[in-house]
Amino acid sequence: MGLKMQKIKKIAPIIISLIIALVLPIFVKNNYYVTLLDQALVNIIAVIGLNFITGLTGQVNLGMAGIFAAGSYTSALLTTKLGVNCWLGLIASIIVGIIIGYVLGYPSLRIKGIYLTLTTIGFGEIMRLLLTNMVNITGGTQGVLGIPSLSLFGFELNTPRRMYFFLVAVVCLMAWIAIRIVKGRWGREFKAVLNDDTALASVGIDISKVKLNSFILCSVFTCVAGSFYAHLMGYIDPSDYTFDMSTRFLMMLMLGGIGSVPGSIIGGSIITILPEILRFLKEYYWLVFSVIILIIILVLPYGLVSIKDLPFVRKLFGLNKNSLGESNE
Amino acid sequence: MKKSIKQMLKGVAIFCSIVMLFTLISACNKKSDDTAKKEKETEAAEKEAVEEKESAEKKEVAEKSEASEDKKAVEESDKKEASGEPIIVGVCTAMTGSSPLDGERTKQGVELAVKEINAKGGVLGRPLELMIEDDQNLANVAVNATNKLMNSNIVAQLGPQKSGNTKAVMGIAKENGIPILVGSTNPGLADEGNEYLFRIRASDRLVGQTAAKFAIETLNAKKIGILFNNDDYGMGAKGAIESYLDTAGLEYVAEGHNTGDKDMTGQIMKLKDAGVDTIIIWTHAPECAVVARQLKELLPGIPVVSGPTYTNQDFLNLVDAADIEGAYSVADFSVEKDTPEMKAYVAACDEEYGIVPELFSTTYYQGIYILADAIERAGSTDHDAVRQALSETKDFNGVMSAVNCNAKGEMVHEVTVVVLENKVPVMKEIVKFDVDE
Amino acid sequence: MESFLQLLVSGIAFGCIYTLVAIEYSVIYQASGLVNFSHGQWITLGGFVFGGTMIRQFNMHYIPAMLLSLVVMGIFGALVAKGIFNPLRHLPNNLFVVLGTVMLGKIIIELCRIIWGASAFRIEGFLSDTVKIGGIVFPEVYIWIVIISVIFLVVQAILFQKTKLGKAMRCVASDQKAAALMGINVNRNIIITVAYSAIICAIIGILVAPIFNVDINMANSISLKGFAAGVVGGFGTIGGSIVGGLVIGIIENMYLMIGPAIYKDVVAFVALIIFLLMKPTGLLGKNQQKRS
Repeated sequence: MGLKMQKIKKIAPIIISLIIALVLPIFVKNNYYVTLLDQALVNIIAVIGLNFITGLTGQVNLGMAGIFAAGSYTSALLTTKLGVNCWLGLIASIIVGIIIGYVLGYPSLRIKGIYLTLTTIGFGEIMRLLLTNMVNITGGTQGVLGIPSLSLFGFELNTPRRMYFFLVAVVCLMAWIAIRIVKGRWGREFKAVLNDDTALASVGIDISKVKLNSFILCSVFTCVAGSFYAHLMGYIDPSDYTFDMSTRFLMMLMLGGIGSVPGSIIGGSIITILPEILRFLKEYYWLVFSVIILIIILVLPYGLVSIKDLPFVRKLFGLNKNSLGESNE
Repeated sequence: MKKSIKQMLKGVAIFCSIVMLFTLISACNKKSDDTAKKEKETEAAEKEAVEEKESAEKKEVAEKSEASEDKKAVEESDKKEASGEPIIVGVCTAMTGSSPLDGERTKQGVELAVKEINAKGGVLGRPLELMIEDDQNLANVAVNATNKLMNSNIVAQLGPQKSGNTKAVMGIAKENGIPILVGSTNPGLADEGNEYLFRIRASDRLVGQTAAKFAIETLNAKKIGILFNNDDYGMGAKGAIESYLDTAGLEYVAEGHNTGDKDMTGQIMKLKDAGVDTIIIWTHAPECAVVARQLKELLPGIPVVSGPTYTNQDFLNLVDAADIEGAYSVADFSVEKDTPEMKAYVAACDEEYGIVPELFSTTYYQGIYILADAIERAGSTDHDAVRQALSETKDFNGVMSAVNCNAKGEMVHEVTVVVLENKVPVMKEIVKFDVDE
Repeated sequence: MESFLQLLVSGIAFGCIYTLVAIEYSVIYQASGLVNFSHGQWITLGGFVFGGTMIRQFNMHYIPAMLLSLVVMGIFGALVAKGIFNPLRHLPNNLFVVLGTVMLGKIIIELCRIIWGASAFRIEGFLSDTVKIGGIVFPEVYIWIVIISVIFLVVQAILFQKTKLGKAMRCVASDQKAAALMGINVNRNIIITVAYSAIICAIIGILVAPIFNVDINMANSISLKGFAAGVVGGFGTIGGSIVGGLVIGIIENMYLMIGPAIYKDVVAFVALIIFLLMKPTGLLGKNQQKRS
């Protein structure tokens, strides 16, 4: 009985959030909000990826825009210029993701901390400049127009609403994979790198391989997100994939709570949706948004999932310390 | 058992918070509409209160406004006040982000136009109302802004400005069947065959050709150097210039730069080494200022023909007068244009905002007038009727230029060549093109 | 040849700017182990305070305007250190500081836009002459950039070597814990260092204003290239900043002799990545990066 209850307890939040996710479009009539939710879901996939490298192994990756762009452009160029099937395009972008993971992960074997951050910034900038200037291949700032929407067994995912349900399924799948990884051997190794990599090496684990794995996971997830983004928007151009985009992903990760998959989901949705809600503030909205995020960083550095660790919140819900760990992982 | 209850409570709390989040979304949406409406109502009420100070007794605001409308209709039959349900026009522009000034000017332009139109009785007897959304000059934000506008009962949308953003949103316009009027000048846009897209500035195909033609015919250029921004603004014009120069059989060297570049020594030295005798510049204001300053330093005295940027007030704020003395520019319009509309507009801009009209304010100011004219002719705010009317626009006398819509949705077919004298663009000639070109 | 020399001139001038940028974040890095990712925005703010408020609003003469801007930016730096750097310094992961400073940068830009308006402007007549020697053009501002950089480096050397404050700053830089044990107030020291960094930002902002104009995006490219300069020379060290800055400035201009100009910005980042892979300690190569 006790075991069963525990299982139910664990599953309850997941089921509730799933129900909300599936019921939401019925209440949201406006296509604008549905597109927004789509974007939030795409961002969530990327943030779940970022969580592996930044959240778990603690290596700050500020080249997310470059990886995301690689995923978008692989899919977009293959489908528009070569007429490849969307799903093959997706697979191609996963392969590109693996390659980028190796390329970016390789330096991480030699360098860490701020140096790695600078490498990723350099990668992101080079990627953007190449996309902008290699006009013959990428179309330059003209962008890629007319990217076809995904189709599932002959069923066109051509409206935001259809895409929404598809993306909810994808996010569930991705989150499930991510949670499996986080809770599994790899996840423990990742966290060990964050805490003390010398100790890890002394028990005979190859740190470089662990870091490489986390980089590959991150870039695969991000490339998948990028690919969906391209199909969702139908048009991409390099001006979106700036340093700002990289920091936005980091914000999502951090707002939700680093190291936590549910946190990534919360952060991804809030950072995507909040600026749109704040639009009524007119020209001040971006300022207000930035201030809100900065305050949250200062007050709650471990993100919104850590809100239950605050004394007064715990009193409110009468939580004891034992029930904390589970959802944080 | 107790624990599970707590767990359930937790779930409920999460659920509630998410629900609250979305109520907040809708509430905010409504609130902003409400406040806008309320503001408008109070504004109108105040205006009337001032006008009828003597006659009006203290009644409730609603009653008063009704009564006053009736009274006014009887009293002043020639000066009608716009009334009834407002016609909403969406505007998508960059209020924040990398080029917020463009958005500010756009906003001033459209607001001035709407104010004037409403003072003259509105459109179809109904007042125009603006709904302005920010696109941060980014494609994905422009998509969000456009989605929001298109789902808000607008009759048509003005903007976005940047060609890339227009590309990103024009599909949405077609899906929703709502016409958009854009100031993006990339020549390729009109070839996409989107019948809901209308361009309210001259295509860079025309502007670029004019620049090349002017350099060859008036400045007797033998070898031309092109300095272009490597984005779709510069590239579009570069294509047009190059094809014209190829046809004319003239030598040229083209050197590109990126948006945000602050040092053009390399590009200019390359042109210098190639021995060019005339330079055509096609870029945005900040980069253009760098080019102008360094050209003065490195290649003093060389004749310069620029795109519309050289007449842009934002550009003029960034350079010393000596740097650009005697340079030519192919502009969309000139404030010196000798028409009553232009004079009235310049005066209104000065009075309202204290600015000299520039590209963005004027383009979208005229855009509102074009749209108002189309709605008036369509006789309704039905999207397809308006679209049809827009595509039939003919010989409309705008403040900037004559407006004639061709089959591709291009509405403006004239440009003005100006020469800069002490930072003031002096009109040289107006070049008109065939409408079907 | 003429092109070569001309490009060398602009390479050296830009190299000096990159050097100053590298020094400006290096002092904070040395003192606290934190990297300020909003330094580009600080430079912008410096430019706006000088050009927008001191010159345009109060019509001051250049020199008092400069000094006042430095004071204002110094106070700003101290406040930021107290409000952001010190709270975030104790958190275990540098992610928090990265994000905290990035958000600070966004806030600064939005404030600049609201306070000084969206339009870019030029400080009319400020360092806008040119000197011509042979066929080579020396813009007045380039000359001043080099002169002020050299003066600044000398002053900084004296400050760090001779004064008590400078010694304390170096002490904290080499070992925070030991410094604290020796009775140096580390928090206060960090406040002073960040304020000092903000003053350097203001100097950069003023120096680049004639070239870049005062604009909310004015420092975007130099802030990222400043990081590249630091890595190439030796990250977080003063000597490394000088060498790296000049190297980046010169090679990116020399590249223009052989390649298309649109890839100019790529050069700095490729150099960054090459150095990180081949020689992460930079050209000066002292193996002293224990902290990371």
